[in-house]
Amino acid sequence: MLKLTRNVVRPALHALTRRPAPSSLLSQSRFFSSDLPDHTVQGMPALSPTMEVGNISWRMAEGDEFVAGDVLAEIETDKASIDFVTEDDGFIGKLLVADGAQEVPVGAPILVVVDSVDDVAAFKDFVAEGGGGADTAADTSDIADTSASASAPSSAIPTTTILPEFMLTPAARHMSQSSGVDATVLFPGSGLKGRVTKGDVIMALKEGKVLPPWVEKESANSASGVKPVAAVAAAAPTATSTAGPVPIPPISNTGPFETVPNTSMRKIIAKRLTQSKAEVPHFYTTVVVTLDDALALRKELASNFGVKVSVNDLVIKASAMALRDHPGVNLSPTVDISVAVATPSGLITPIVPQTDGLGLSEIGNKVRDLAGRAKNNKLKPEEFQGGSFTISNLGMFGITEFSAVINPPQAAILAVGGGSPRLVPPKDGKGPPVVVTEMTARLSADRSKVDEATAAAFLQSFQDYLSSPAKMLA
Amino acid sequence: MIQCQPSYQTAIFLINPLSFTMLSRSTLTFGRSLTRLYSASSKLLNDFDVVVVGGGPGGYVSAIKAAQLGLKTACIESRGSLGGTCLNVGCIPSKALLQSSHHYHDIMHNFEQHGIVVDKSAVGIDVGKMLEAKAKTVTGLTGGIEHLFKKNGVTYLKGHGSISGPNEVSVALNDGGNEAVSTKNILIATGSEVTPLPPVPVDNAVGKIVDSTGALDVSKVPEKMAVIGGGVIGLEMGSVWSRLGSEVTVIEFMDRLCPAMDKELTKKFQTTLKKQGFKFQMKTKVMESEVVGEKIKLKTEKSAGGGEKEQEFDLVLVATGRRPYTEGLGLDKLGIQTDKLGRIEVDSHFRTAVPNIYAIGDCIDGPMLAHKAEEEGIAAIETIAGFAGHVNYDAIPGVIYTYPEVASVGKTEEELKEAGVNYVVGNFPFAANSRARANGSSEGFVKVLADKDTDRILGAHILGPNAGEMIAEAVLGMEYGASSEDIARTCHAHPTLSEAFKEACMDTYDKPIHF
Repeated sequence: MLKLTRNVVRPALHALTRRPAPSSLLSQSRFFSSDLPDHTVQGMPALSPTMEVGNISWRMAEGDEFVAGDVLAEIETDKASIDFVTEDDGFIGKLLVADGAQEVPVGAPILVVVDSVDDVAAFKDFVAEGGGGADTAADTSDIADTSASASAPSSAIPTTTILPEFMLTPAARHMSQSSGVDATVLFPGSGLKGRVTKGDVIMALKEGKVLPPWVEKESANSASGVKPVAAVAAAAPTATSTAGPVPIPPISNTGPFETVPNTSMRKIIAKRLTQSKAEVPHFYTTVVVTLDDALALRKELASNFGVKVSVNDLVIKASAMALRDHPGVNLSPTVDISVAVATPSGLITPIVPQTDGLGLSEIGNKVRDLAGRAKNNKLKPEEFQGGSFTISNLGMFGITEFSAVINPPQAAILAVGGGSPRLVPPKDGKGPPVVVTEMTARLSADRSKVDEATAAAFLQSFQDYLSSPAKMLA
Repeated sequence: MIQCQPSYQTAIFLINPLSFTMLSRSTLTFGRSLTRLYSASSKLLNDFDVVVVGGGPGGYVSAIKAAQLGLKTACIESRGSLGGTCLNVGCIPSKALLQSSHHYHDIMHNFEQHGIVVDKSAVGIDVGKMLEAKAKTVTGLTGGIEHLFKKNGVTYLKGHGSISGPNEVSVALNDGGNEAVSTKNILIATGSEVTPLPPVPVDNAVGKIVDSTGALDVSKVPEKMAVIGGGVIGLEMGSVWSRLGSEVTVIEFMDRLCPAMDKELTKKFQTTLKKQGFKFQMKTKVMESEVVGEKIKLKTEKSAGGGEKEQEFDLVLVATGRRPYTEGLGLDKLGIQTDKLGRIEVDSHFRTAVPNIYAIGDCIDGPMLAHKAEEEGIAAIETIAGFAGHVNYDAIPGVIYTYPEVASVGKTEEELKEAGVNYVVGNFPFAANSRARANGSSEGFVKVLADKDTDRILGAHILGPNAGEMIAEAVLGMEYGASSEDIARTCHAHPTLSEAFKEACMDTYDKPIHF
């Protein structure tokens, strides 16, 4: 999974409480406004799915420099005390909540991170817009449907005397019903007293807002036209299935819930990947890559030349060169790497064409452009159909390793986890063990097209290039 | 907080010769009030909750509403009858004449095609009788308002009102003498008067150069009539006499009729009037006038200068506009401001600089329409009574009662273009409407303007039969924030003229069926 924000925050265990670190939801926004230097506003991370608030004890001060692995703060929830560890480098621009702040809600902006110590002064009087983190949290977490709350309105639902049957104007009702969704939840709309108009429905559909499915009024609960919203893992809506499998029994009502129908995009993805998993003989080869040199290169490019390159860009570059060296895995005249991007309507894989011929920043720019447009549903078909190889990176979620499903007709897909510090024996065998940052990459390959030796050779090259990035220049 | 039910009439009335005309509910129940006659204050006309100055559509509607809400209300009017300009010398009499003249014109020109044999030499127009019918309509309605006042318990004061203090109105009674009325709130609804045109001085008594008031009492059909001012009033009055046989020439300063209305609408309207025999002199101004015996000589030239012409007419109607009437109200002394056009300045709740003095209708900013005054009056009274009063100025229709009628609500295409709003247009001609065709009257069209992205109706413009009634559908839709598709998906009876509106909406967002 590709994430383009630079700062990755991952909770680490507090020495005294041995709890597995839960995956954090990213809650940050990157800003490139013209009146302030580039900065990232970090929101309070949700360290567990049920966490709502936490107390912050800062371990760093404004103006401090931090590197990957530093503890920025200790966050206390009702369940545990967890270190707020950063995997990136930067400077503390401004602490937006005081040390010892209690009951800071998840998503509330807590920290401004800048790239240079000189930028710190610009944020002296900075005030963040509240809730910026919450939006991005919802945005970045949609890779996992289970935590998605796609249309996250506030908890207070306005009351109305308008009967549900008159909440939608005739055209709004027609459009809503034709789209298979119930737009009544858009109340209050722009019509008189909040009636939902055709314009409201047009806008909601354009924004890709997920609405509950349209249900014929006889069977729907007509208690109120305004349905309270809470997200639930979307099962295929039983009402719409015509023939086929046993209908899923109704979920017991322990509280308000909302069924979210699959978008057509997700339906297609489901079909293709099920077929892939079932029919393509997958086999898996894993390699561990030492990232230190790559991270050092990153840092040098950033600090000495102002060139920003992400770890993922390096992964893509290394893969491209390895694919060029091992055409048996690419199995295509050109190397065109598909990069997996999560969008509100599903996973899409825009292609970086002729990746092996691109420099690191070119790759970075291309990926950022594609991912941005992917999220707004503005990709042209030729930009995501095709490709010779796919890379999927879940590192920013704290995933250490995973296995991905091949996108046919490609021959392989590389699943990349996040870097983590490991204690390893010294290189030349002498002296104490050293701490290095290691990353696990797993190649899923199609055994009917690629054999184990080819796969292994490819991975070896990949590892070579990524662990010694200077070789990418040779 | 005022309760929403009629309050007890606790006022005590001394039966005063001057006030025989003032009837109130408590005097009707004279027996009951007699016992209170000696027990409380004996001051007359005291402590009203609201006094309305002006009994036109804005004033009388406000007064009735106030009384219905339980406020002790008085209404002051000096004309001698209620209903203001509208009922007495405006909307109502002109519509009566338009109807009468329309019948005449219909017989003379349209009955034949229906197979009705008309001996045109036997058909004539008795102007005197036509004016009588008009007068009867007017007195019937003005009397009706007086009846409503009695029914609702509004104290009707016949005289000229002036505000002597924030809580006092002084009435110079028509019958002589003065009355001082104390009140908590004052609502100014004094309306407007004709704006004089200096080169063409009006003398309704003589009846040669007249304004709209005089035009309603013209005793015989003028052979040649000049209408100075191509606005609503001029065109309507011109229509009356044109139908009865006059040659009507409209002299207008601007390049088109009704400049504030939609351009396409006014251009097509002008073409229609031309077919009816109207003559137009656009971009023309009148420099001089002279009454010579039974004729009037007008000297005109082009608005930009040059092109001098001298023309002769039998009747000249000056209809170049109206201005607020606030004569003798004493606004200066109270510190109430008027702008350079004479309009009283008010805030969004119709309050003047003096917080308990309100102003509505023609004497404040906004279109000079009776229904606008009524809406404002009700809103102001509701504010006084402690409720929320609101006027939606985006959905106030305007109608011209010529034939075919012209009606408009919302934005014009020009306004939308200027505001940079992306819009779509839907059009439907009455020639394609079955009912209009069956009626033998299918001139005109319906135009609907909607937002390009949301399809929300932004304006509607109609030229055609019944436009004034049909526009109500557009107004209602706009109040609800309707899209053109909403109206298109609403069932309209067949065969009706209103289907044309539906089809225009269909053309706006999609395609019409019948064109």
